[in-house]
Amino acid sequence: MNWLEAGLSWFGIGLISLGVVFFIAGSVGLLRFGESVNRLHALTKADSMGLGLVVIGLVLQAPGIAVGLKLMIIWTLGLLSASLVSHLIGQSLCSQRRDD
Amino acid sequence: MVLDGILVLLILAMAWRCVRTTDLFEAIIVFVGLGMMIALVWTRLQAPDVALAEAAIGAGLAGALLLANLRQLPEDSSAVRWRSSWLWWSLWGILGLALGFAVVSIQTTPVSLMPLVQAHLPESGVTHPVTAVLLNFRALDTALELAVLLWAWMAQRHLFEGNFKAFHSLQGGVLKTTVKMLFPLVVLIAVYLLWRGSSSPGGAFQSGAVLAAAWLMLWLAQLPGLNWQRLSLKVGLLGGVMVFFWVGLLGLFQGAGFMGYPADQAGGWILLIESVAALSIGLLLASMVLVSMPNFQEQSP
Amino acid sequence: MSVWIYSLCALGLVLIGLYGLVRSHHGLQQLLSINVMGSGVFMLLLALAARHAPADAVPQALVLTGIVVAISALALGLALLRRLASYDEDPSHE
Repeated sequence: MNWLEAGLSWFGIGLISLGVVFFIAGSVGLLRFGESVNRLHALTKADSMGLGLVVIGLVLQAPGIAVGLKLMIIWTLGLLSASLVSHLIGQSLCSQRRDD
Repeated sequence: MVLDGILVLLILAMAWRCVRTTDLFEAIIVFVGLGMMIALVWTRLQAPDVALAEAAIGAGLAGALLLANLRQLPEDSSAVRWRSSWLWWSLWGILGLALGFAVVSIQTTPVSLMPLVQAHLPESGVTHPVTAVLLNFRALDTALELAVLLWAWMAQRHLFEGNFKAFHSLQGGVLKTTVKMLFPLVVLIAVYLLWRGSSSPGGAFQSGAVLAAAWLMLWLAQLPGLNWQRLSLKVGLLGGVMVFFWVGLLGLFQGAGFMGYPADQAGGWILLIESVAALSIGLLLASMVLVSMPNFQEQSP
Repeated sequence: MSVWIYSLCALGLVLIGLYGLVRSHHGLQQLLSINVMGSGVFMLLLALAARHAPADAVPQALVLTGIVVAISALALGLALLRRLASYDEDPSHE
């Protein structure tokens, strides 16, 4: 079964690299967009996607089921906190704009 | 190797930016980012316990503390700005050279205490070396550190003033609902970190930091959380130091020396001390951020 | 090999923190500079601990203690700054 494990491992590395590309794209969006709302959009979506890909790649390389499940819990927590924080930042940006 | 070089350059650049910028908000954000990079460095240096603590306390909690206090401080401050002269610059340069020389000369004589630690690990009651050092071999240091945390909080509590600039409350139910969902999960993670501390990276400090984050989340969502008037809160704040010192005295009476444990009971005592200490650390850290916080000001319609 | 790099980085952090402490514009920034110096010291301790094959646990425990003490000092320093600021606002406060 060596080729199966090696194939999964390489596929995992590919997914992690793709996730890193998404993170870089999100950071580029953060630096290049003018409006705060656009930056928020780019950062949250790209980072969540990147995190998901990295976690899936790690799960494929994980030494056991328990580690894989913990990684999925980390992904869920990351998604929840990223969406919550982006909602709050967006809300405060909106109220700032209303005050102007 | 390349990763190390890039990390070092990034860290030095961020530290430089942090001390040179004139915008305080930017300095705080860069400081939090610096803390995260340093947590990466701790992982590279084979120190996962310290990486966990740095990410939770040094980057996360410090960020919350600094941002909460930023609002209350004036823009310009009465900080004495020293006049720099050639004397100061030459002293700074000499210090740099002396430290560099000291660092270079240390590298050639490596001495490790790890064989000693691992020789006594079976009788320490835990299987993770860092936890054994923290809670058994150097227990007095940890007890005094908890005492320092307690004293810092007490001093802080007596210093805060009455007039604050209030925070605007956040509207909508998303925050409240999500925090209600997340709070039990975060407490579970804290208990998990505490339990795993005896055999793998984790322990009382990381667990306490996660607990503090949970209570801060409750405060941000304006859900009922810590109530300062309750006796149980005050007992919880003091409990870590007290239990530590009581168990230390108990060890003295049992003949194992102050802060020593009999070898067969060591695991149980360490677990008791760690549990109470984690609760105490969580309460103290959350209190240090919250103790001088005003109530939320309602949004003007 | 990485130990050398991180020792030099620690040195750099201490020097940058010292520079920031003296040349900062605001008390908050001075507190941040002190914490940067502290992080430099921790980095040196951990780099020295990482020279051995299972990393030396005693400096790691010391640094863990140090991180918590540094946060307590930061919190107390911030409280002192706020108290000073309240005296500046209201000179007849005492």
